[in-house]
Amino acid sequence: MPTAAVTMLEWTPEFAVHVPEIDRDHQFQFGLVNRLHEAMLAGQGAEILGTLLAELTKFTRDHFAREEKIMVAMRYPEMPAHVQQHDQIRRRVTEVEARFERGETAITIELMLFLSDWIRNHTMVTDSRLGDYIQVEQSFTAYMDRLLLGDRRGCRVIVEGLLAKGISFKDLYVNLFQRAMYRTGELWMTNQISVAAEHLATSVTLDMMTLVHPTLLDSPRKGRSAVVTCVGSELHQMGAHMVADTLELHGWDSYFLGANTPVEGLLELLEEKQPDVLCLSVSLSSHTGRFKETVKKTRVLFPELHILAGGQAFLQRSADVRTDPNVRYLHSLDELEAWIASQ
Amino acid sequence: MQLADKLIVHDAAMPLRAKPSDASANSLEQVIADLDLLNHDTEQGFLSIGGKLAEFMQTVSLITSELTALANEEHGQRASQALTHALDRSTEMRTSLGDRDSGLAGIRREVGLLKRTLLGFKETVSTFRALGVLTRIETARLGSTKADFSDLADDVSLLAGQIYSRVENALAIANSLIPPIESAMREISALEAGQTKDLPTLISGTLSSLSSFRDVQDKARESSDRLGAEYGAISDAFKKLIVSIQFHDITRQQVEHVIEVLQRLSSESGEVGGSPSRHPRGTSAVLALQSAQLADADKKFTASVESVERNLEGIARHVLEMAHESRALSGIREDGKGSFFLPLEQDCGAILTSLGHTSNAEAATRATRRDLTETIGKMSGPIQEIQQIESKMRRMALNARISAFHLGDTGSALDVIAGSVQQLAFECNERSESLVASLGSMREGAARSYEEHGPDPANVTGNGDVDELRLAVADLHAATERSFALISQIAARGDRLAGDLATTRKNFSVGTLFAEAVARARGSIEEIGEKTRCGLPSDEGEEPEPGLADFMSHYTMQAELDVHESVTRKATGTVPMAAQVDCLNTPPGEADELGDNVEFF
Repeated sequence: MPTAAVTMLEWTPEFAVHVPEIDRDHQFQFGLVNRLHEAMLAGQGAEILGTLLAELTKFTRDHFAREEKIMVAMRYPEMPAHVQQHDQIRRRVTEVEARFERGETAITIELMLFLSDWIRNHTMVTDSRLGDYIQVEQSFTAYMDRLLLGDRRGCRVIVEGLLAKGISFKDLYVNLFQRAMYRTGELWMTNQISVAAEHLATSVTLDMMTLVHPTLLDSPRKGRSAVVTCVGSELHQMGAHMVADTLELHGWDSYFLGANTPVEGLLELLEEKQPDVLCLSVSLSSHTGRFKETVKKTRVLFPELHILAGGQAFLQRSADVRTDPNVRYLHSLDELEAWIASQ
Repeated sequence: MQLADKLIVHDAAMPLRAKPSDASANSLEQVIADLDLLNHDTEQGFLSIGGKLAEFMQTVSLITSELTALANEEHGQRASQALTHALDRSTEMRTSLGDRDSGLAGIRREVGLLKRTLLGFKETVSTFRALGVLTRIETARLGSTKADFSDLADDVSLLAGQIYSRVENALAIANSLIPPIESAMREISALEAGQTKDLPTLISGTLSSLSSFRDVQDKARESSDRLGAEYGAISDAFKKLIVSIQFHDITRQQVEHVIEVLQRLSSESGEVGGSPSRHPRGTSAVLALQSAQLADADKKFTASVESVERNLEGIARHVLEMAHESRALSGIREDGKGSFFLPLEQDCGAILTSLGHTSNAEAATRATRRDLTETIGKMSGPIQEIQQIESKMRRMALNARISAFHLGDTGSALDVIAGSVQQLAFECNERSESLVASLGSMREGAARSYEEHGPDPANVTGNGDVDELRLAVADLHAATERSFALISQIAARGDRLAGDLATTRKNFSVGTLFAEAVARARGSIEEIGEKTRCGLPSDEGEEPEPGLADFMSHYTMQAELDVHESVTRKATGTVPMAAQVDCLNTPPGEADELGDNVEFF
């Protein structure tokens, strides 16, 4: 062999999920791959298979148990899908070990591909999402406290800290901003905070969202555009704002009109921008009449235009407002992203 | 902190004539500080690239040597030969296994015959027992004739019992022969299926994969050759890069020189009360020259940076192509779940598994042969004993007939009985002879099946070739995993190098910073020059005289230094202005002949 083995997979802080025990596990996992690579490079993969598989089996059992315990404790919403992946990996490890026990040793390439795939598609993606969630979750209470105090600086420190850790846009939006605003709404509805405090929280959150914008606007453009607005006198614009930002993240040019947009103005802008899609946001069910009117008037002038609708109003009163079969109703940013991917 | 952040922002709104002397001196200090910082930071920018060069070159060199190693690897030669050999022998085995199969069928037929013979024995024994009873009756009747036949009946009964017992024993042994024979036949069938059908398919598949791998090796060789050529291109690009970085050294010295001149001016102005305007005309000329010098440095620096960027881009393009080719060699699928090498590994695994089954079958078949031989041996014992009993029966029957003959008519009945016993003894003899013949046939059949008709049934390729094949396939797999790991390593190196290059390119932003800083410095210098000219009488505050303008367009640092020295000498009254102008008129061709990059010290 002319050269020394290169470290095939190097664990760097960018792979960190910021849970020390999990990060240690992942470093060990990277080490397993590197040891197998070194042995294979010397044509001695079969020699270390026994030891490696024994370690892998133990690692799989212990590591997944640790992750699942954390997921339970944190009430991780994506746990079922995450555990499903764990089960698939467990089965695969068991199968490989059984084959080795039966005397099969010509399985090193297969094992290497399996381990690499595991790291690439589970550790770096699924575990990374878990890490993001944990980070946001751990910051949520502190963020909420700062938010209700109207402490912009305090909120900014928390958000910038999360951004520095590489937390994804979506996790910040959904698990921090959106959740914080839902919580704020609940507090207002139960008279625990004043309407002024609720508006202050909204204002601070809108400021925090701008911290994420530099990364959004760097996304490569796709030559598609969207007009995003709240209907009629709807003042709750946070959801529409998130929709506009999500579109930007995926390379769409989004024209965000904000709250309280008169339908005539909207139609003029549609004529001017000729977007690929119109996104309408309705938070309060009292505005569903305006929503219907906006859709109806838009259809007259732009019969082929895609219309997406979303917001709390549709969650509260689903059936009677969904009168237009050509309007697509989205319940989450996940659904929006799926729609974008399908375009 | 970025250079741009550190540079001092001049206050453009500052009134030019408010405190001209102080303002000019301060501006000069600021320009000196800016340029000093600029030189330091651009130096760092180039040094960081220079520092990476050796690393990049080493990586490219490693990738090339690894590709060459991959192309030259004697991948699976031994396995290829062993597999081809095994394939040939498998065809031969198809015939010999068929022979063995028919041999075992013959043994099974013999066992059937043997069992029928033994069952016939049992009928004979029944008759024999009946004759024993008749013998006892007849000898009792003859007892009145004083003839002594008292033992005859006992002997007949005893022999009948003994034969019965031996026949039972032989039958049990014969019955036990059938299962191992059938088991052996099943093993043989399995072997036939596995070794003459499945194994050749596996071997053919592996040979085909090996052939495909040779294509990969050919491609690796081509890549290696191409990379060899590209390596030259990359090396050239690196050399150009080094030249560009060295080239920067010239601009650095130019800037240093400007700093030095400005420092002298500053220091002189300090000596004369904080104003650089003591010799306003000369000072103005010097400042104009510094501005020209900076403009020239900017031009060179821009060219140098463009060259660096161009070369880095060229290297990055080559490296990306290389990484792409390496990944293509490994045949790793887009989803990363499969590779060209995987089927080859699976073929190796299947052959090794098949060979493992062969070993198991071999052990089972050997055990069957051992059992068969042992069982045949066990059966020989009872049959020999039966033959001995037959002999006794014949002797006893003969003696009884002789005694009956002596008795005359009285013994005629006994003579009939003894004749029947004698007849039965002959029949028994015929049967036992048949048994012996059957055993002989079985023994021969077994020997023929396992020894005479080709190699050992479990040993497809004969004479330990299974072990050889197993080792060869294990070697093939080791070579396969080695190649896979090597290609993965080459691809990883390529990817990392491409990433490092991209980062280096991204971080290489000194061009913009230099241009901005030089523009600011020139702006300040020209502003100070303007202020200085404003302090001159109206006829002296015009444009630079023609000689100076000409010099500025054909600038060299030595000439500039001469001007500076002449200005300072003039300040002490030693050099006339004419000499200064002569100096400015130094023939530009001289510098041109040596090139822009030549410096005079």
